[in-house]
Amino acid sequence: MGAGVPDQPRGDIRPGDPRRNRPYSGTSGDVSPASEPVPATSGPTPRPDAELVLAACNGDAGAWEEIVDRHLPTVNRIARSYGLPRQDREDAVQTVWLNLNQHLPGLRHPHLLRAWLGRVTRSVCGRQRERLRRLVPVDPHRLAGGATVSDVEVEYLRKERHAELHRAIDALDPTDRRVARQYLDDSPDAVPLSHRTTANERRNLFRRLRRSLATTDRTKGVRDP
Amino acid sequence: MKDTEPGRSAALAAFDRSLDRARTACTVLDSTPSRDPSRSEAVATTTLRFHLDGLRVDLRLRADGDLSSLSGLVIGDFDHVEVCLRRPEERLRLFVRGDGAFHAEGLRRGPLALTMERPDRLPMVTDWFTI
Repeated sequence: MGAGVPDQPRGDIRPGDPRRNRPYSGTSGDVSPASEPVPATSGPTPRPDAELVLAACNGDAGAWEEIVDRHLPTVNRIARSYGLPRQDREDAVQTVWLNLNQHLPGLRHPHLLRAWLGRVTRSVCGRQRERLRRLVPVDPHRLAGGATVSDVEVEYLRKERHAELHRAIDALDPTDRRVARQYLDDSPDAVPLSHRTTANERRNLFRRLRRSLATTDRTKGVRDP
Repeated sequence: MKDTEPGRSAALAAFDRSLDRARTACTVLDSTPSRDPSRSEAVATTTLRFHLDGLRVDLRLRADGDLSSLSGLVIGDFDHVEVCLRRPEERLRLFVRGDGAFHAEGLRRGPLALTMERPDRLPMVTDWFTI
């Protein structure tokens, strides 16, 4: 997005040209790039992006309006795909147009304006989404209360599940038991299980573990009076 | 389409050629917001850094609820520098201390950019970013 000297001509209208700020007559030899929309009706030929950029750089507000009307739907569509709240999406879209206004004189490839806008929109929306991801709303009462007091029933169920899992692991054969315990080891120094076992070994282990847990469930009523 | 496409008026209002002479400072750092774990309030801090022509601008943005504050530091080759905060259709000149520090608070959400002006030099602008 850095400003730089354009490395190619911006259309065929020069700053001193009297046609510059007039509506486009459609007589120019300039050919629209294939990526630009071609109207189905026989109205005036739309000016190419490069020409509009040059005119807007020279202060032609009408050219800017044409750029906005041509590309705003695309920018909005990209912004909507990020699933941002309305206010954040509108801020992001406005930021894209402010950045385009600022970088307009330095655009290296004004005929690729659509691609430039797409890239900048994705960058701005991505940043906005990242910002929202970090700002997870929390209940202020929970924060003000300091340490949370967990529900006794939830705590009991968690412990019961933990005990059941370990009973199921104890029922495994020694090799599987060792692998399962290594898998449960979440200490910082523990090497990830994936480095020590193959995908097949892990799949077989989980299958046996599930079967063992199912057996534990069936006998639970007998063992826990 | 013209009346129904959202954001059209804001996009049209973005047109401004008054700073075409200015040079754009590169964004060299744009950290994702982080929350201060030692504070219970939902305060998030973002750090930005811009660089151009031996001038560096460090920014720290703090979003505290609906409003944000901004602390900045200009580092580099200057005797005097003027920093302006740009919002759409608004421009606010900030007081810059002798050490290059500046501050602004009570900023509403939305796009924001800075301009830096030094005597006998072309003005510098930063990219627009959203707070």
